[in-house]
Amino acid sequence: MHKQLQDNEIEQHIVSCLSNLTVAYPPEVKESVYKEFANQKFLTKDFRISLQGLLRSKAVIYTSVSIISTVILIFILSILFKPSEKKEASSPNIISNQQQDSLVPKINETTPTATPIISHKDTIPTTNSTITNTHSVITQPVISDSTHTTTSITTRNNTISAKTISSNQKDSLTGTLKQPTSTPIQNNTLSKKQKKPHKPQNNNTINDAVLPVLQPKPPSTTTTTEIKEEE
Amino acid sequence: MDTTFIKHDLVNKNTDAFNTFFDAVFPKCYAIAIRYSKTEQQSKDIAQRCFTASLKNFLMSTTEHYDESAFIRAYIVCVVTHLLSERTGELIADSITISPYRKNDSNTLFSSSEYYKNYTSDEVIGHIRKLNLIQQIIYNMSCIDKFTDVEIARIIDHHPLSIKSMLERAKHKLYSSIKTAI
Repeated sequence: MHKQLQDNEIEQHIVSCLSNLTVAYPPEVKESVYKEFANQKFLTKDFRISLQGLLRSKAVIYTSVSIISTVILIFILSILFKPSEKKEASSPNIISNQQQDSLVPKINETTPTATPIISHKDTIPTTNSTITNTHSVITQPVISDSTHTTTSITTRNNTISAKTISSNQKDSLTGTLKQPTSTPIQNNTLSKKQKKPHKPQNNNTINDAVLPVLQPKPPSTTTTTEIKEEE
Repeated sequence: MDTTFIKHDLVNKNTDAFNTFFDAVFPKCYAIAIRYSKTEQQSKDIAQRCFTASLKNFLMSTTEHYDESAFIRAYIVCVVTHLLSERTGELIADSITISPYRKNDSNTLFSSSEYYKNYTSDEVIGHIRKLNLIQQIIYNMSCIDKFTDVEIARIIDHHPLSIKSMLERAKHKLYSSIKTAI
């Protein structure tokens, strides 16, 4: 007990000595502390208050977020649409496609005008019989030989009137698709006729046809020989 | 003293405001540094660094009114953390061998209470500096600066129960050294 009392007294004495202790500091310390303090940067009160007010205000945050999002959307949309317009303006293929598209409706517009005229000529069976055969030939090369389709169509459009073509379109399309068995016989015969002019063999036949004109010359020669003999 | 006005002037680096604040606060901070440090030179360095750091924290904080006790406690925490960061090769308080208490020593001397009342603060600080750094910190924080065991445990990163045991050992060592000196 005596020891504990002594310890408590010592502790109280130490605490009383050191709790409110103030020591005279050397003057050098003040200068060095002020230098460190002066070199430090502090935010001013007004700026901090304004900054805190901005950060705390939810309305400002929402408006800033909305503005930023709209700006980003506009930017993205501008990026997306500008290159497409440039491509359409710069690339010639697209323009040609547009021209072709613009031309296709014109053809479709002409066909209905032609059909009624053809309906009048459908009454004539003899003329149409040859034309139908030719038109069936026109349709099948489109399927079989892609190279000769353009030539055959153009030539026969020139020869055959548009009235007959338009009238036979329905018949040929329906007939060729629904009755493939009857048409191939005609088509084979006629396709050979068409294919022959394109082939070099056909040129030989044409030359053969021309040769008879030249063949009479030898008789001429013979005649000359005969005259010489007579002389 | 209008502390808000002083803080506003301190933020604007007014020299007069700094001088008034320094003269009012720094002597206490310097005394605390003397109690917690081992030498006079170390106390000077710690007092300068920790005073500027705590002043910066006060000026950067949102609190407008100056609270002396809060400022001093923040300063003590800064001092302790500074000392612990500088500690290299220092022994842990648990591993220190405490000298056995001598029952018959100086009982007669402390029987008269007037004797140790004349014991000066410099002599007390000299005995406190004989303690280990951890013991010195714990004793100063607990007995003089009135920190709780939980607060000390948080600052020093120890368990509160170990803080209590270390405090008892520090007291025993300090009082025995004082009794033997007298």
